[in-house]
Amino acid sequence: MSETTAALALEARALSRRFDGRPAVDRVSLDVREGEFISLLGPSGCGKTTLLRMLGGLELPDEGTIWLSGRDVTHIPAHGRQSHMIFQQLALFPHMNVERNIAYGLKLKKLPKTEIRRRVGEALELVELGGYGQRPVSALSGGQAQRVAIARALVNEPKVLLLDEPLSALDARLRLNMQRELKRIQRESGTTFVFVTHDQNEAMNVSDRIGVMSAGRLLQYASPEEIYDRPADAFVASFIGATNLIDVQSPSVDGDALTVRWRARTFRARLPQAPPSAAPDASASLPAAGQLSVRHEYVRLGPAAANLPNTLDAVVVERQYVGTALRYALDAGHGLRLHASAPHSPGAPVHEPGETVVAGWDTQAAVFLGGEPEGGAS
Amino acid sequence: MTFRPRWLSLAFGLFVVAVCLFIAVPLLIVVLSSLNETSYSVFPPKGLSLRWYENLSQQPQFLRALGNSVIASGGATLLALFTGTLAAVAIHRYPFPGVNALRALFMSPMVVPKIALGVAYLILFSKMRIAGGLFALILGEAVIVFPFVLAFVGSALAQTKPEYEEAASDLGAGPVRAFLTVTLPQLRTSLLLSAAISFIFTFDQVETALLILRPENNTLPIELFLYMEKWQDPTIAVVSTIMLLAAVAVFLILKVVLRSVPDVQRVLRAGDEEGHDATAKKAFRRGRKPDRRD
Amino acid sequence: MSRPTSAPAARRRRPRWPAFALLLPALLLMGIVFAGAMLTFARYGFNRFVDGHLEPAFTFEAYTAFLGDPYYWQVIGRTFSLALEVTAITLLLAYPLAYAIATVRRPALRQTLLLLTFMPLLVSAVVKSYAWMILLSRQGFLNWIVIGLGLSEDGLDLTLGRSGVVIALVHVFIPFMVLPILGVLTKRDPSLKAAAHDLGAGSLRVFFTITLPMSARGIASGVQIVFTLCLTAFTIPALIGGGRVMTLPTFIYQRTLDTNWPMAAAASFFLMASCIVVSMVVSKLADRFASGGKEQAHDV
Repeated sequence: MSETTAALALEARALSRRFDGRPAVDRVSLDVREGEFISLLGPSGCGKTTLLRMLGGLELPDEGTIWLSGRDVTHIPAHGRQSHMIFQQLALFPHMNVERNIAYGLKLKKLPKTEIRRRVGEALELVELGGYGQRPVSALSGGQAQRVAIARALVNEPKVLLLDEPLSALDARLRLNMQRELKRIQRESGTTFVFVTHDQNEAMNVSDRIGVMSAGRLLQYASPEEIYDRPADAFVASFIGATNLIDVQSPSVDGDALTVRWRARTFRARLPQAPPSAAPDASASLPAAGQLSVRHEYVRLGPAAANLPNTLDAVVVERQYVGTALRYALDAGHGLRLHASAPHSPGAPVHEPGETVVAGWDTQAAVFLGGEPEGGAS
Repeated sequence: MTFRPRWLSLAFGLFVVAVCLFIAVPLLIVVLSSLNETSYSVFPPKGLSLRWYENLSQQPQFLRALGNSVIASGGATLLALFTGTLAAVAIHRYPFPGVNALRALFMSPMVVPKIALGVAYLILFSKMRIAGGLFALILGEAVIVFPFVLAFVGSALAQTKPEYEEAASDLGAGPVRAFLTVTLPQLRTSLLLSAAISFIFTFDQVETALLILRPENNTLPIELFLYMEKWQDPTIAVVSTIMLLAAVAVFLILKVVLRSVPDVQRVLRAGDEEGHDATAKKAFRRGRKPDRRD
Repeated sequence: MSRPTSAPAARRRRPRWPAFALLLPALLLMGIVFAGAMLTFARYGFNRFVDGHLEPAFTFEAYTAFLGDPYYWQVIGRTFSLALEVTAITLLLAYPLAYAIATVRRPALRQTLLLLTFMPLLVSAVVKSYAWMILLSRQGFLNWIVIGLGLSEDGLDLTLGRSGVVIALVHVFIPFMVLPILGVLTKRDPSLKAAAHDLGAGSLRVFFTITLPMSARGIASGVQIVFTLCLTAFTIPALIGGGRVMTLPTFIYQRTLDTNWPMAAAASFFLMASCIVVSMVVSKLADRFASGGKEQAHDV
């Protein structure tokens, strides 16, 4: 993702919202470019839905400012904003048929009847439900109801579409289809999407950028690749994908890599994201201790690990087939437990429990994370 | 499923039939005596005629009383629906401290004996100098049916998710517009039910109307009540028969109207378990399986 | 984090005034008409009634007169015994009817029974009173049967009397008893009954050990409703009783016509208190019955 100068569809600065004195959203800032598809990802109760409701005007922030297409909408309630929401339970009006549901917003704008009819027809075509206009909403399947909800919002040509876990009620297969559909609809309509989910795969599948939230804070806001390969802290590293976290000390910059100490050994890790010009005194700004994150699938075993810069001897404790992969639990001594996930193919070496093997990983596969998980938005 | 002995089933069946006769026979006798030829009620009738129906045309007070009844019940029903619905919205959508105490006050007319309320109205309305008129009766009867409306509409509101109003608001509707276009249509079943119950209930109010109305404003039950205290000729049977037929008509209309409202069956089926997927059930009832084309 | 430079976001919560605006019509109606009437009436209970005139005062004379006179206690006693009798008979007739509606398998029959039970609710009590007056009269249907069967030479007069009032009240109140019982019977778990059959209980045993105790709550609310309706019934005692069966409501009506409002107030508030006490006692009893049964079941 290049840092283009595309106009911002949505910008939030230092938004906070407390419920009964407990912060639900804590000084969150983020911006969304026009036409971008971003996700807010986090465990339930992390504040992502509250943040979304504030962006939509259903909840007013205690502090902070929201700009929608450059206009300050902080104090404008939902019905005055040009952003629309897809609710978790969809909230299709049960007493109206599909067409009247979709036409609801247009009727409020007092558009001429022919114009309304045309735009409803177009919206139905966009979500591939042409001819469904007269159906009662109670006769729709789960996936169809999703599409109608999307059409009902998009027909009003919102600046931003806010989606509050709309896929959570669908079964797994339908979910994947709808994720693809969402991407297609977003591309074709050119609308900016802000998507809330607690499912990391879903977020990875659909998003240009992901904001990872925990306890009301936005921990990292970056592209899926960056979040996966360079998590901002231990929470993000373990929430997205599966990772090994190793407690390490005294990091220092050594040429094109970072060295850290684990007991008597030294590991090499990729350099932090600091600008290269700051290299000479980069070590000074590093914390004294932290964690090394190595993703399960980046850990190699046996002969494949022998030539890697970072190696350990470990005993296989457990082995498990998971579809296409083999998962190992390893004991590296000194209370360090490692997990490795290796692609499974015929002829590839298989290690038995009790066997001692060499485990290793590449320098670029290891990320050093500062001790305090206090990282803000990138 | 039962291993009930034959004699027990038979005895039980006979008993139930007897109870049914006990319920139905008196009402049938009324219809029969309205066709009686003689000026006093006698069974079996000495001859059949429609002369008492003709005689009714010389008793205009009954028609006037019917008009009064319709005005009073209609007015009281509308007043109770208006005040009760707004109050239910306030209680369920804008929670405030002391809401339970207020609800208790609003429901308390149900525990006051009607005759006591009638005397209380007589005294209050005399002081307010509105006693005797239909307006006073409308006020008084609206109070009596207000708790029904509050309970019915309140429970319907509690089941209507606030999410619908949020969705409407998100699509550009202000709070009033959102209520009128989204919430109110979803309440129509309970509004209809409480309107029907209110109208029927107020139509048959004797205790309050008897005490506070001037004779020219008498409602139909009062006119009958006073007539019956003096006379027992089949005119009463004629009016009663007409009222019976009206009741049957109301019942049938209610049945038809309520059946046309899709979710009334769910409301009425008291024994039904909650938590079923209402959407799926409704779709099923329409004979349409939700098609999964995705 | 730096503070936003734009206008500080005000703390905005859902405002209070819409709630008040929405409540205003109801508050006016219930506050002025209902509370106003009840408070005024209560105040009149402490006035003095002398020689056919009301005198403003603050005295308990009406209450002491009402509670101190054996004649009034006769009225109270009659009202309660009437209510007890009517409730018992109504329960006896309504329970089998409710049971039949709940267990009958043919939908058409079920519909007919429901219609027959609940349609009379739409019929005015005045009309029902009239029906019973002609049914019970000397030349009415009942005497026609009585004479026809040779039980009596010239028939019985049931019209103006206690039995007539009882019969008519039972007739009016059956639907109010059927409704709550039907509610619990249709909610009842049929598997329990099947289990009881498996254990070898006969159908009567099943009924008395399973079905009846489980419908206790329905019976309780039915009894509660019918008993209080009966205590406060006016139309039927007034018309069928023809002034000869004086109950509390007819007594209140007559004192009101005599403009003895303090006495009417005393009797009214006594009646209201009775209804509340009866309701509380019945639901307490039902609670004890229901929970007591459960505890025993757990002990076993």
